[in-house]
Amino acid sequence: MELVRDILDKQIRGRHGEKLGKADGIILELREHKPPRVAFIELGSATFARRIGRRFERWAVWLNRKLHVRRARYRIDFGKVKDHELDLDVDIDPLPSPAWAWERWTREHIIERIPFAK
Amino acid sequence: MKGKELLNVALGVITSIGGFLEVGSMATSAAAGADFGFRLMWVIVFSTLCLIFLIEMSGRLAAVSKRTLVDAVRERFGFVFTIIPRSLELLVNLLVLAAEIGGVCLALKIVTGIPVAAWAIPVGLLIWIVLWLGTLEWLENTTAILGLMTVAFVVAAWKLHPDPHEALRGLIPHGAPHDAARYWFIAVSIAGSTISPYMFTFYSSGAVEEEWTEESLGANRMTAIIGMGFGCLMSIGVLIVSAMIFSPKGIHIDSYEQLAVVLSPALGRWGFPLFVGSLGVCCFGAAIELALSTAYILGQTFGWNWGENSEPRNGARFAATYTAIVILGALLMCTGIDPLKLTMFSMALTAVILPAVVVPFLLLVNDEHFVGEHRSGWIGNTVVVVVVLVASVIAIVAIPLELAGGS
Repeated sequence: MELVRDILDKQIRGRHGEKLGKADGIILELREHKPPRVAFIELGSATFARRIGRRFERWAVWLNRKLHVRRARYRIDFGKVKDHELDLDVDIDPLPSPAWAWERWTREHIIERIPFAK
Repeated sequence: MKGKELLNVALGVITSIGGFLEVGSMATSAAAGADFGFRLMWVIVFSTLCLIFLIEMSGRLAAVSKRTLVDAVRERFGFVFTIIPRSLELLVNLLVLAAEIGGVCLALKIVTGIPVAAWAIPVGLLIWIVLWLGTLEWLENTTAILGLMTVAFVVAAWKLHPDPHEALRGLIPHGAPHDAARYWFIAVSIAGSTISPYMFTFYSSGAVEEEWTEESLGANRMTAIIGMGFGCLMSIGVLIVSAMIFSPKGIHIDSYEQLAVVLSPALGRWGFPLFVGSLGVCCFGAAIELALSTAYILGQTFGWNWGENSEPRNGARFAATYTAIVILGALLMCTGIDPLKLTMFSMALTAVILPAVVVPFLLLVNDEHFVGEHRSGWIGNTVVVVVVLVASVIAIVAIPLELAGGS
């Protein structure tokens, strides 16, 4: 597996195929006398903002703190990745997951208040 | 090819023909005909040839890799590269969407006399309702079949009996006969209106949403060639009609209202309703595609649930995005901005951003990881290289030309 080609920026899908977000970052664990291992996949505005620059990351963290909807970062244990062929299929229920906080918020506060949303 | 596949190809072709002409193509082709007769016809043909290859590539990429163009670009080039073309595309989409809403409003203004700004919100609301309630297939087929009334331009062009030798000479590339700045500005605007990046995003998203497979490649190729080829005829029809009606009298197109009677000499009392209908329906269809394309871009860049075939609550951020962009587009038209000037500016700006959107094409459709054995041949690659080079030149010259000669 090539981490950047096969994992980074791929679509992450939940237990039933729901789109959770993109793999914005990869967290490696450094171990003594052993090769590093992939510990987590990270997603969230602070993670992709950091790839542009530290200042953007600080803005993303600040904005998320102000909005109180979701943490600026969310980590998925790499052990939950079931398949990485086309998308990253993870064994996570999206509904209670923090990764879907904005989707839930938009659904509950905007979309479901408009007729014929279902 | 089986019956159902043939029907799908036919529908795809009809969709392409009906959806080809929109406010940008109409305005730029009409301006070209009025100011330079048949002399800019070659730009329509050249741009359509490029569009055929690019549309085929985006469909092939989607069918083989099961990824949309936006997904594939982010996966291959990373987030930092992705935000450059996508941000540019979002900006242009907003401006073009406003221009398309303006086109629908103008059609209504021509009929009712009520100003464009007053129609912007009701038209925006109607576009949103159709998006909210419709499915992708229904939207595509309905607007495209209604859009077939643009064939009226080809019929009118035929009935006006243009000199075939002069028309054929228009297919040969040549320089400006006079007013070079205006000539090249209209040329880049035609290219920008024809090679619209939102079409690739929309096409590849539709292909993924309709679950195309490698078996769909033949239909994809036919749709691209026949659909876009016939669509090109509509633009040529507008140019010829404009050249025959306005050019001999030395009339320049300063507003859409001037175009209202363009079909009447050839089609009599049917000319006016057919023009108004064509303008309204085509702009309405393009506005829907633009709103969806914008939602696709954001949804696919950030990995949200997206899809016009799913209920709005199942793609809440996707639905909120097209809602927001339609509101912004309608508000922009409420400011009283001139729809024709906005259209011409948006088309030139589209030409500016083309290299950033087109360059990844060449790499993706030649990357075995994405398209396997279905990599582009040398003809396709050459055409894309030409597109990139021409688009780069267009990008460099478009804005100064607009300042010097654009309306």
